[in-house]
Amino acid sequence: MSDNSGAVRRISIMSGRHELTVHSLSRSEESFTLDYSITPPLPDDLETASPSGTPVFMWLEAVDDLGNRYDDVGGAHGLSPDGSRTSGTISGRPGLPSEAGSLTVRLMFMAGNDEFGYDLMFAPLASD
Amino acid sequence: MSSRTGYRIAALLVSAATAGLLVVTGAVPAEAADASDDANGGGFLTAVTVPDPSDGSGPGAEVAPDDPVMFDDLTPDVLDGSDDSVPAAPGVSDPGVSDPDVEVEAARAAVVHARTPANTMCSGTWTHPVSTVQFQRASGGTLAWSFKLSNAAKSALGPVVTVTMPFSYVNGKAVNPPYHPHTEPNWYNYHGSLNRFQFIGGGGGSIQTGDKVTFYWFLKGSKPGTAADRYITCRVPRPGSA
Repeated sequence: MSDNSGAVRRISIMSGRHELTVHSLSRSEESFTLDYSITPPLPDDLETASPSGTPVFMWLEAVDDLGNRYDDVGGAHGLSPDGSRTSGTISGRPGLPSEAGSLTVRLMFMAGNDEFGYDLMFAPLASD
Repeated sequence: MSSRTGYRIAALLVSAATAGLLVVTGAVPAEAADASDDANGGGFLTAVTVPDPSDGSGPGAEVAPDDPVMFDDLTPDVLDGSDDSVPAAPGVSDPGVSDPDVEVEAARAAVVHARTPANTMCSGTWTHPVSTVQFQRASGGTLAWSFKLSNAAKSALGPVVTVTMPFSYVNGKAVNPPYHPHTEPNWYNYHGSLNRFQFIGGGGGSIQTGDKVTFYWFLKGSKPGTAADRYITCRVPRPGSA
């Protein structure tokens, strides 16, 4: 798996209530994965959250500069050990072809009736 | 479930147990959960210690936990075989994998999808002793889910859990599962979504309101010899349904 972390991307999300930081984009033959953190933590990650409380749903959609589309294959997030942030990973498939020069990932968040989408571009993409 | 299919499932489970691979245990045995609610089930599975003279490890070798069944290796090619010992849902190619663990899980997933009427929408909160699953369909059509382990599952599986989705189905056909394995602390929210899908063997599409879907999760615990499974069969709700 190669790591195309490049510059850290940091954006305000969900009406400014949280800040998302994408730390890296890693690649394998079958998929790619974003490693991120969110501050303050998402409400459903807090220790006080009920398991049946309304979660913040999250998924990704992606397309590369060649027009190839990529599908969400899920992820996982939770409260960091120090309790200061949500830490997580989210993945897409298939793997990125070596010919692709850039990848635009739309991260989607859904909380109740609110849906938010944020585009993040990763370029250049190092080959595997 | 037909008697023949039921017999085959029972035979598979018995043969796996006899081989010392998986034993259903825990507060809600998988079969009991199956009987009580076909659409919302699962159970805890533990490996037992068996002798295996063929692998050189001698008597007492643990089978399941440290002999990983890496479901992410189950590519469509692997799943596209034929094995008469494994029942298949209508329109589903029999998974031709030889590992008894996988055969058992494949059988459970296929039968669950085939026999369940799915008269409940994939929305809201689905509780179960293994995990709580929540669904919501976005306005654009994506069906999103979250998956949180119960306290019982955290205790049973240990501090780190690998969640996989070895099998999933849409309208009676196996699809490329929309979740890649993730290994994280047991308090994490394992999440995923379904919109576009590819049938195993070719073809695909996007989910439509009213489609019958089955999600089958398999969990491997960091505590030696522990695992669990979880499945839900439901119908895709209208976009924008929470």
